[in-house]
Amino acid sequence: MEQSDGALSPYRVLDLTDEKGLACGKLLGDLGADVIIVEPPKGHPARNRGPFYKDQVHPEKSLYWFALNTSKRSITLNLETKDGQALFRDLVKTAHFVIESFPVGYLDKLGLGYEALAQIKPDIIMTSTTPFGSTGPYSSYLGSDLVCQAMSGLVYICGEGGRPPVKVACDQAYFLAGLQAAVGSLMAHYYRMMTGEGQHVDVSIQQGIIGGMGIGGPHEDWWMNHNIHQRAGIPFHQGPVRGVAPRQPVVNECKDGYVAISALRCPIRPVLQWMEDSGWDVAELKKREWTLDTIDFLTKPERDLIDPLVDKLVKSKTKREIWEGALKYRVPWTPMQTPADLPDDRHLRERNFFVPVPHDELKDTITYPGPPANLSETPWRIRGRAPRIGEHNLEIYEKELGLSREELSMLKTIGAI
Amino acid sequence: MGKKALEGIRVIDFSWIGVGPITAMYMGHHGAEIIHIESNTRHDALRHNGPYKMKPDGTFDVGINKSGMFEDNNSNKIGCTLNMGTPQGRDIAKRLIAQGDVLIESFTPKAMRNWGLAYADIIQFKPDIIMISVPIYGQTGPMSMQMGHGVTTPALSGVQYLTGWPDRQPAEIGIPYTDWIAPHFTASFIMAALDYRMRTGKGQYIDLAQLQCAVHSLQEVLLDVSVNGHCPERMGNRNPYTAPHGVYRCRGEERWIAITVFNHPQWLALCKVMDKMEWTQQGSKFRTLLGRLDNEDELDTEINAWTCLYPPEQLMATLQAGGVPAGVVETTQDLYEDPQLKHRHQWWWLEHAELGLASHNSFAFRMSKTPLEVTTPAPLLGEHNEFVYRELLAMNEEEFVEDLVQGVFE
Repeated sequence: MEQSDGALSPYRVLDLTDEKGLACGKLLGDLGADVIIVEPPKGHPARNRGPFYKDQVHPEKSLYWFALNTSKRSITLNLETKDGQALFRDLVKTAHFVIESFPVGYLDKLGLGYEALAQIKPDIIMTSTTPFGSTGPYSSYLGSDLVCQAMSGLVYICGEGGRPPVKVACDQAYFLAGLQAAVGSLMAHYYRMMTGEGQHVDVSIQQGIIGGMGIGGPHEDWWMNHNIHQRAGIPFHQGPVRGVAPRQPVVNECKDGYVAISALRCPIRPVLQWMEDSGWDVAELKKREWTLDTIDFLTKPERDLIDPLVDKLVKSKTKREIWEGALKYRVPWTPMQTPADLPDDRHLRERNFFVPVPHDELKDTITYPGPPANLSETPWRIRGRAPRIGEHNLEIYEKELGLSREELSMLKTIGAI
Repeated sequence: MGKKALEGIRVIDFSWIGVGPITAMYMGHHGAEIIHIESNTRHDALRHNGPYKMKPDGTFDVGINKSGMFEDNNSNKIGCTLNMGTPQGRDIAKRLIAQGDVLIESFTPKAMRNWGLAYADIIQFKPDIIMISVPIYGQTGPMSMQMGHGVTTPALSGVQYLTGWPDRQPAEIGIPYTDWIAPHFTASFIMAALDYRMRTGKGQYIDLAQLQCAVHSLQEVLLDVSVNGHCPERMGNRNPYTAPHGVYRCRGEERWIAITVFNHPQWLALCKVMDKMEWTQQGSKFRTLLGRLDNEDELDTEINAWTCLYPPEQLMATLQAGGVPAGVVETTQDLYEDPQLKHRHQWWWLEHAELGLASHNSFAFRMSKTPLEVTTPAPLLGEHNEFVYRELLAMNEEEFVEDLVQGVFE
């Protein structure tokens, strides 16, 4: 692991999360914190999740594990043994944050809940990420990414009429919850810096998505108008200036795939120019007085005129041509990129977004998504690949906690580490 | 009001629409003071996007202070208007920034430069500012001058391509989804930078690209591309590693339930609740996970035939009691009736001068000592001009009136 030059370099995080919260520790680690992921002696369950490196199914080769555990160190520890618990308490004394995603009450039962840990380390911040939050009528309900997405309202409005609602791809609910666990931890940390007090942060995965229902209107349209949004794309709401603009689907077919065509704040004149430069006769349309110069604020008859032409223009172009044209004519349209397109995305490449991460254990270097942002003083940086099972046991237990080899071997024998 | 985590932080917010204002609101809900700066000539664009309340005659009650979307993303803020086209306006902006801890903006790169408010300019008079720019594309790169928004970013990021049915085109997501990813990165970066400043006295500049945040949500997918050359395709609600995993039709119109099974005990529990113990017996094609994955269409048909007999709420209660992760596919109406969300105080109803009683969303976590509070509705356009200019900047009446007359607060 490379030396930390990140903002959070003075701080230690004990990461007890599973898939529900791994993104939290990753973010804190990439921001410089010393994140120690605590694995059961046989390895973390997320290691069994595919896809795998070169399709070799092996707990040390899970790409899912790689993706969510950069910049972390690993120890093995069995929290269900008395010795394991004692060791964990010793670790807590050296830590600033404990993040976890066990079922509600599990750590309390082991004597390792927030109250108990605050006895050992009064200013500890503990952040719990659970499907529905740690109190309330559903607190003991079982969740999954799909179930949490469904119960947030997002799934109901995703997809198309005539088919069942569909989730947003990848474990978005878990991912968002992990990020929000990081935000909550850091806000609690600010308060600790000001007052010396730690606290418990209680993250609900279900709630982690609902904030998004306030962008695009589904939430507001309910409390204002008791209008339930259906699966029909993002409605463009009526503006104060003009009447109701008709909705235009974002997803459009082009010559070699799909593109996202947004009427929202899309200027009409450059689109007409694009048509003309493509060899169409749009002289009449160019002469026309449009009520407003962006497509989303045009009237219904105007949209009836322009929309089929936009459709025809798009169908005649490739994804690459749409990308280039959108830049040239300054319209907010983009190709619908497949994940395989992303490594070649010219914009991301020029911003050095993708970073090589050495995997010494595989004698390979793997390309990862890099900084979401460039922080001028304290970079977001992947300081090392995801750890192997218990890779840092000796470093942490022996060098940092001062356990002897004999003690370590005994703890291993009884299954504590 | 109880203690708040971020009391004492002042955020100067030049941003508009989604990500910037949501980030500021995030901090505002936890006690930071947010100054949201707009102008009469260039409103926060969300003010022009509904929903608006429908009047009894079926038309909409539109108005600059009546947008539900603006309302939902701007609670707990102080709002003022400032004409950045005037030298006085730009001077006042500098005075405000000098009093702030954090500066948020979301324009394409040239706007702040043209106003003399690039980071390099600002540190001349406010060396320890934490400035974050949060446009879609960031400050460099071929698309940096391109206007973008959350309607198209899901497409560019790869998220939308993977969303939907394998036999159909990518799905319409229903919200500009990636607008909801970036704010958690922005808030984390700001909080980390504040901590760093506390320890070292140094501010910094953060060049964020919403697109890059969105790409992170693909998690393992990009490694699968770069290592294995695989590009996954749309899978609907399925999960390649387990079955059943889907959304099933329930009794009633557009009623649905999500049911997921991740291990053998959960599978046994589902069979028990469905009274299909024969599926766990020798000879059943559904007995093993591989059998279920091989016969998933048939399995889903069987489950659908069962779920469509019951309302989703009843199914959720029964399945959860039996030990199966299952949940109602909630509509926005359901969200308001969800007892868990009530318990967690998801919605905050506040009296708004033009909207009447208005509901406001809140964030995902609750802090034991400093719980969030939503205390004020979104500001009316320029509502707090007097407070900002007379009290915060301590303008005397003469100066205030002169600027007012000269259109500096337009």
